[in-house]
Amino acid sequence: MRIRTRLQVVAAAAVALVVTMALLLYWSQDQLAAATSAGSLADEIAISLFERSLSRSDYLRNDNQRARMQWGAKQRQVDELIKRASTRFDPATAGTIIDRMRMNNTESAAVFAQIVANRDSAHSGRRRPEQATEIENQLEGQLLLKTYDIIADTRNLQEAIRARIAATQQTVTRVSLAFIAAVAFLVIIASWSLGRLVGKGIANLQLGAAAIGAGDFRHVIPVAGEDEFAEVARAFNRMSGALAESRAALEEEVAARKRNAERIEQLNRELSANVSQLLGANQELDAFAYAVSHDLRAPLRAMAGFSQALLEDFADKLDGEARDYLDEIIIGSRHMGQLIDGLLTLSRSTRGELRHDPVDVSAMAERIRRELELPQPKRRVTWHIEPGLCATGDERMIEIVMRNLLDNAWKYTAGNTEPVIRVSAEMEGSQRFFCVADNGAGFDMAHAGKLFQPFQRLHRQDEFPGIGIGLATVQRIVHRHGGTLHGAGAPGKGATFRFSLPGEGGAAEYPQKETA
Amino acid sequence: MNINKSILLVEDNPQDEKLILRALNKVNLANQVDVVRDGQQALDYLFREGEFAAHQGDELPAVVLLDISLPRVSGLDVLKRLRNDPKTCLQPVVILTSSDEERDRLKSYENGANSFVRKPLDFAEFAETVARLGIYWMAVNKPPLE
Repeated sequence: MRIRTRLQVVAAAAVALVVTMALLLYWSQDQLAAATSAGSLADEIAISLFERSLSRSDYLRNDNQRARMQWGAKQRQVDELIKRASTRFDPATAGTIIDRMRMNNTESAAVFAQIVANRDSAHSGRRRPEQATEIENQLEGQLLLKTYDIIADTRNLQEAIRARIAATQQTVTRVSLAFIAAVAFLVIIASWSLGRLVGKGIANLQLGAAAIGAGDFRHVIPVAGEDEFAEVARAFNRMSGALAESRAALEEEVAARKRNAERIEQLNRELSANVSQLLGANQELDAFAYAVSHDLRAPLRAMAGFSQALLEDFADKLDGEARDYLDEIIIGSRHMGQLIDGLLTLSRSTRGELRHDPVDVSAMAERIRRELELPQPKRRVTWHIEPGLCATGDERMIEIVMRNLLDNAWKYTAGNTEPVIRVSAEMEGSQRFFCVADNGAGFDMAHAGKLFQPFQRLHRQDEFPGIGIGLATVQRIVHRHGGTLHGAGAPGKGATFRFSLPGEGGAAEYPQKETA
Repeated sequence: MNINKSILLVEDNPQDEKLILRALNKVNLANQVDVVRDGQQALDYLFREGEFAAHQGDELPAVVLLDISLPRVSGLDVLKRLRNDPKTCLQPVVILTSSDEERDRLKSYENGANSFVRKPLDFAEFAETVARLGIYWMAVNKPPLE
């Protein structure tokens, strides 16, 4: 049985008890009221008899005819009361008494009638007064006796009432006690069994909760019966089952993640190794470029130096052609020196720390402009340098960029009648691009692929001298800042070079390996 | 003019040596130039040791023209040794090198060089630079110890 049901039963029993007790009380009250009214009826009979006696007395003493009438009335009253009493009283206990009372009352009336007849005989002379008086005394005596009997019977009736009340009370008490005992018994049994049940149920649940809490998801709480504890136990078991499943799933996922993490770590290790390798290779390349260009200078100096020495010291011993040959040697050496310088600059542009300083590009352009104009004061070039251009990056390297681009612009507008060089900035999307444009010789876009490759030139030496390393260097520097470089042009219409220098958030800088 | 003074040229490259001597010759300083060809020789010369032990009493040169890349002992090590020794710590030293690396320049000054001159690529410029150097250090500059 469910606990709730048990509790309901107990509650119902308690309610039943209360209701029964109430009914019992009501019944006993009822009984009491009946008894009381019966009692008062008996009292009324007694009083009426007393009043009848008064009437008799009054009649007999005073010969009051009215009293005689009253006596009759009273007698009828008593009869009436006795009749009523017969309905009020339990015939078993009071039947005989009431019959006796009625009989006595009726006989009283007969006796009284005799008394009246006697008086009348006395009055009429039919009987001698002494005889009449004696008869009257006898009759009065009889009447008195009868009256006393009735009164005594009223007292018996009271007794019967009291007995009845006592019996009622006893019944009430007995029944109440029985009920209380029964209900107490029921409550005790129910509480005890309920307590045991609840205790056991809770103990099981506690054990189960403790086991599950400790991590044993396979613990099964025993399910007994079909009550609430059984339901809770089932719910707990379902819960622990679900927990066991989810834990298994979690463990699986953790294992998978661990595997992934290991894999990632391994990949990272491989990546670092590759990066180290690449860095090493880069550094070696740069060191190589530096060493080579360095070591190439000395013999170059010798070649140029001694050719010059020949020219100076043996001028008189050399004819024109010999001097021309020596000039060619010197020119060649100079060219080679420029190549070496270019290579060195190129290699340097990717070495060293990339600084992030604010750079005034406009001021830089103005400075380079002056340096270009100074040795050639006769050249008239129209410059448009946008003021306030600022960038963030390595000033030294940005200087190389601007110098190369402006150098080119200066060089390739040499043949123009109205050369114009423009330095500006424009936005493309969210990125800022610096532009160096000229209206000089330009280049054929078909060869644009070669534009930034070292030593690849798009013009002949006799058209425009140069070694073709400037733009390669510019591109390297721009890329190192995380930016992009674009060149556009048309033959005879000039060229425009645009580059961006993302401030922060450029290409991630890998730490350079320190070389002593 | 320090007629009695000498210039010590520390140069391992024979062509550079010839060119430098020729340039100094143009300004009449060639006969006052002593040449050593590696770092150890330079130290021996300046400390009057080893093969130069016989020259104990000689005066120190007016200036040392020191290349950086030298066999046996490098130019910078020679410089350090010079500056560490009380006898030679005031010796004027000009670093004359083909390197234009910033760190070479900085290291030279850090180790106490008086001057840093780059050998120009262009020969004419090279000759002129050397000549000017010679004139400056021999005629214009006043050495620490007269």
